[in-house]
Amino acid sequence: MREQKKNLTDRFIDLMVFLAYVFLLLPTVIVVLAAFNGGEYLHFPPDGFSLKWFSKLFATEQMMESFFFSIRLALAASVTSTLIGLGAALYVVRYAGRLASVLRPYILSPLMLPSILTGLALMISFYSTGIGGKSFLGLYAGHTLITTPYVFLVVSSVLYNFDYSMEEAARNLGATRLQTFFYVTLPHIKNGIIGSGVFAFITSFDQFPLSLLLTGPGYSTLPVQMFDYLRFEFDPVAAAIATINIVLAYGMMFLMEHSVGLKVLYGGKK
Amino acid sequence: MARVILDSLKKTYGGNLILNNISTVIENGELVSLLGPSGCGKTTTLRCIAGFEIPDSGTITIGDTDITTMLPEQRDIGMVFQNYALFPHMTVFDNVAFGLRMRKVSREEISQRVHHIMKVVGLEGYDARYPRMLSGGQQQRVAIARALVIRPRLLLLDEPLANLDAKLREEMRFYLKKLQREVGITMIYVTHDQSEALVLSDRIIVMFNGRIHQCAAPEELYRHPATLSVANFIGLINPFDARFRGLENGCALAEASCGVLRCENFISEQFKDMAPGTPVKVGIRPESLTISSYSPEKLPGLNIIGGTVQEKVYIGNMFDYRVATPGGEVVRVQASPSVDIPMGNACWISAASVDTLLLPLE
Repeated sequence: MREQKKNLTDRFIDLMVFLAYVFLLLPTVIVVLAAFNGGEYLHFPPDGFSLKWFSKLFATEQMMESFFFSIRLALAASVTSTLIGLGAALYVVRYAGRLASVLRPYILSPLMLPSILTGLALMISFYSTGIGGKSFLGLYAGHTLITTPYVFLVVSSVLYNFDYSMEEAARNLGATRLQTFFYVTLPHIKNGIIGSGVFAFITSFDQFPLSLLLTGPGYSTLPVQMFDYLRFEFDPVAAAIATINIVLAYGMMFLMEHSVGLKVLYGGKK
Repeated sequence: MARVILDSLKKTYGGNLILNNISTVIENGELVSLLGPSGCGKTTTLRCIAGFEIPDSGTITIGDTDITTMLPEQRDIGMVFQNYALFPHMTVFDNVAFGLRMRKVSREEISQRVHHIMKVVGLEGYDARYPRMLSGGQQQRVAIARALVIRPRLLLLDEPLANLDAKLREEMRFYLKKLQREVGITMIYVTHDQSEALVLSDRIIVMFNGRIHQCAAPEELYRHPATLSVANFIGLINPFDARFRGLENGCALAEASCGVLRCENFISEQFKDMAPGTPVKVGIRPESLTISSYSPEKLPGLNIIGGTVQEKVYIGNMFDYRVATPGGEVVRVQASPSVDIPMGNACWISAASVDTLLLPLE
């Protein structure tokens, strides 16, 4: 197919798009390159190619522990926030009526507040209620709190786009409310639920400010561990774990795009 | 299957009266249309029967059962939705089988009944397709099959042809009529399209602003409309403001600005107790009027009005005139093209008193 000749404006826009991509991707590329650095310090450009920082990373026990701790935490938090967010979205979209305008900002507030504030508030309340600021429970509650709004937003938008006459058709054909939900509604919002759950997982896994205030000995998440590590040792182990992090995040995004479609995150259909 | 009785249904939404005393009886095996402009309450009436809305007062009975507050899934009523509402994640077979599965019908019987109904609607061999792979007309037939396969007591159709193109819509009308004769099921059909209602229905219920204006067979509705709104909605009508004079040998006299008009087309209960001097409307359909350039002979059964041709449009099989009367009314006349009166000329229009409607004010 022949293309229309591009004028100056088109070329300018192309250039801008290219620069935007460079701006977005360059830091990631630099970190990845730094992870394969043959030298002793974290810097760019690298001095030769080496995998030694990865082997050092795998040998660094507290780093690996934090990595798996973060995964467990993100799993627990994202599953919980998916359930809560789904329930909240169903209620607000379907049944809340006028109350919806009150509930919506309330559920979304963890997204609006700086997470360091949310963390501080949680820490103080955990101490004063005796749960203690440094426990798995505290982190779990905090991460659930800040990931719920994502699920709520996505599932709400899917529900607003949902054609209710399908549910009525099911009821008309003899399905109870519950049967209608499982046979008709759920298959339709499933992609939105999965998509937002994955998004919640990544958000929890990357969360730093909130975790910083709520982690304690034995309960350190990966970003906090990386932060601690970099304060004392400025070697490319941090870049190596960052690379694993990046691969994980992109991998999940890739899988999601090819299973449920990333569009569900803003209410579009696959 | 049994008769459906709606008794004094009322429904308000945020202070607006959507249904205002809806009462009617639909006989077993009848195809009845609910006809009216959007917002007249026809869809709300249908949704009350299906159980998606509960009327504030009044009752709905099918046979001997009061279903007014019953859950939709317990009513055993089939429904075809305007957008078909097929389940896009299920195959055609699963869509049609859905109602039977909910009823815990055995696997063999499901397969047998689904295949039978697919044959009835002419969709054999489409089992494994998904709704998105079908044309609008085919989706429509899946929706009908899905509703019929449960052998409902009653089939509700909510503007089922509105999303089809004109040609297909015409075909589907006859198809639905044929299907109804074959299956013999009672149907209530909601539409805003008068020609659709006229073609399909045994009887038509015409609704405006939450009220039933008339319930009659199509021909009756056209010939003897009960209100000006009905006359206007089904066909065209020229309305004249008038005052009731009285009844005289089955003929009503009404005084309009163009003189006393004799009306023989009216529903006598509406006027038998009316006091002389009461404002009324006289209506004459454009095709009932004759136009000529000289005054016709004064016959006892003829209403004659003088005027001037204001506008004239040729529309193939007839001239569509607009005639201005001295009283300031503009009357539309549809006349055969053999009479050609130039614009601006004086003319006489006339209508037989049997074609002159007397209608109450609404």
